[in-house]
Amino acid sequence: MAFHRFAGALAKKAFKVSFANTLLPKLDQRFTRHDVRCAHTQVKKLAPDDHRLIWKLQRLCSICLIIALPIDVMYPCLLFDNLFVLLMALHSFWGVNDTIADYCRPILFGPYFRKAWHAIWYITWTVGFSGLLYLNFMDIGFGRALYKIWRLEPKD
Amino acid sequence: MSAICRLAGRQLCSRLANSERNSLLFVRPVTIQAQPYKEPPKQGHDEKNMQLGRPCSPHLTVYQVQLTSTLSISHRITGCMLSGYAMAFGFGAMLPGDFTTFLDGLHLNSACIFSIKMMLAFPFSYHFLNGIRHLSWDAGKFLTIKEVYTTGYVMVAAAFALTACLAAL
Repeated sequence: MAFHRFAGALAKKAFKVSFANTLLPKLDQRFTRHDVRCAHTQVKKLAPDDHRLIWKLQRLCSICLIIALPIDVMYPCLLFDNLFVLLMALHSFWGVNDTIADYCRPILFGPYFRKAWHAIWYITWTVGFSGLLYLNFMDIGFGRALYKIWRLEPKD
Repeated sequence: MSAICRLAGRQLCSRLANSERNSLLFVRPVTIQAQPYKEPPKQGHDEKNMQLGRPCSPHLTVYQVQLTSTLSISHRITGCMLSGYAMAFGFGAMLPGDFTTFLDGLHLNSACIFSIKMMLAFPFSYHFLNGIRHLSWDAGKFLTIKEVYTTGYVMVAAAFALTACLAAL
């Protein structure tokens, strides 16, 4: 009996030691790593210039454009014309805006060159986009205009 | 004299021997104060380089001309061309008179019409097909060097074919 009790106590002690030495530190480490990861995501979410949403919107816009162009040329109407012009204008706005930001470098052209080109682009884009909307609402619309250019009769 | 040396030596030796235990005796106490986090000034990549007197980075002229970079910059050039066409179209639409009478009054010969179609069709075909290539990269496809080159060659060939088809319409 005494031997059994002694062996049981020994086993318990051995388990405690092994538990304390192996399992607990592992759990601790896991929690620490987990906490760090959580903190990391939180910091990322709170960042003021987070480009994840705009990046996804840009890809979505590009994919919609691929579908919208053939639909607009095949079935030109006010809805499809405006939808295509809106998507195209957004895609063009982002594209030229990023191109200006990437190539009008302050280190090469000074601090005001990029700002000036951004201003020029914003004004041009606003006027051009308004013109395209005018074409859709007051004239034949974008899809039909494109069709007419492709159906030009040569006059030699 | 020897007694003094021996005493001093013993003192030092005993200190060094116990240094592991009493190492804190040699350390000057320092109080560490927590300071609230101060955000560094917001600065662009170029502004920082200018402030530190560094050269322009990335520096374009040190790179060899490659298919990858050429196709990439052409994608932007064709995109800007198409944006220019769209904006010019928008500006033109606001001029007095409607579009149909304007087109009928142009009196273009066939060579002119063909070149107009080519000028519209090539940037469009190129930007359209390379845009699909870029979108597939964004979806995580064709990202090995071999695939990037293969899709590049295929895209250029397809862009010429699509241009020919569109101009022939």
